[in-house]
Amino acid sequence: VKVISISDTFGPFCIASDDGGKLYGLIVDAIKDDQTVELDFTNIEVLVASFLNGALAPLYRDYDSIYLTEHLKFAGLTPSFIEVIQAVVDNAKRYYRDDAYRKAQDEALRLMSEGD
Amino acid sequence: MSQIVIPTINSEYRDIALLGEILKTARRDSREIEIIFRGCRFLRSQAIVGLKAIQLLAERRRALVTYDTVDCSTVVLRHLERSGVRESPLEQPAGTTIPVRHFRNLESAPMAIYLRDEWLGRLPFPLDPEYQRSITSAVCEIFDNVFQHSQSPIGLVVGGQLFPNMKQLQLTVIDLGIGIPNSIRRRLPQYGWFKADDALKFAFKPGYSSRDAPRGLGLARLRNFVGQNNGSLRVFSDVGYAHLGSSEYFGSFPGFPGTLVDVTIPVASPFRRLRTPMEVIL
Repeated sequence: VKVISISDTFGPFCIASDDGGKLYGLIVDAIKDDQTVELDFTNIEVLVASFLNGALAPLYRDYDSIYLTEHLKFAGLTPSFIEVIQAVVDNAKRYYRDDAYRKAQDEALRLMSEGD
Repeated sequence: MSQIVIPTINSEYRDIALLGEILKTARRDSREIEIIFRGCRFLRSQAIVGLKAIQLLAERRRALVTYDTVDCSTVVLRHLERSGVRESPLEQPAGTTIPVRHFRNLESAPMAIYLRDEWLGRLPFPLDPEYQRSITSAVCEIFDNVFQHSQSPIGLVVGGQLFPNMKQLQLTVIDLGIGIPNSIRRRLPQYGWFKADDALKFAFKPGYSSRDAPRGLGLARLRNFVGQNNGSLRVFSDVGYAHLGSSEYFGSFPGFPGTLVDVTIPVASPFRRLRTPMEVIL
């Protein structure tokens, strides 16, 4: 099991989605080789949805839930952190598994990029 | 030169409307801004944070800000000095004023440390660590949203107040960006018909975002937090207004040049959680 200490890697305040993207890269590097990753949230003081969206949401684009259940573990979580991680995971699953939901969101994004 | 008259400004809906008018005046291009306190008996922290925003706007265009405090109560002067908005010749005791801070960019550690040490740290007793983590994480969702969506020329300004008798802690965040309704309408043209209150409802729905999906959970999380913990959240953004907490209301507003978010949390009642999950289900 490869343990990633979130506080050692990003510090105790996890807010920026860019940092979440870096964590996503670390997770994928490990689980693509069939390794199990444990994300250790011990000593984390702030955990924001953007950071988690950057880290966890794209995993549901790349892998199915069964693979992730087998290869991704969590440690050091408090109840409030479990709540926000669960919300991010549920939202990502809905987005990547529910075609109608994803199409509606993608259409919004297409229009958004045209707007930019 | 533009002159801005500051009367007594409380924290009610009409007071924030007046603050919005004052900030709109300050946005007009001017090389010099004179802030005149006239009959100003007290200012709530929303106005103190607003005054800091005026200073930052002026700094940005290298304009001079002067203060006429002849008709200003000592209570207001002390509040301005304690918050750090006005320089003080003497070191001021902290009192119940939370210092005003300015963040130009998303600076994770300084923002979180401000909330932990200068906002929650003002309490005369230690908070339950889990409650503290929940509050700081929920409020950091506001900071993240400002830098993701607002396009504020000054970043954000934050300050607050402790109300010991009411056992409440309050925080005000102001940005001078395009406002939540405009941000949604510009990024999602299919929602161009949204009225301001529709846009605020959209912004607080879980899973809805004007940025790259899947996102849009931060403000919903904040809404849940204040709802579960007897807190309240008020959002004044452009011409929209939302009050969230034990009861919820979305409506129109005379106008705010950006967004003002006001969070009030009880600090004495036990931390409540509607459900306590034991693990993450992937």
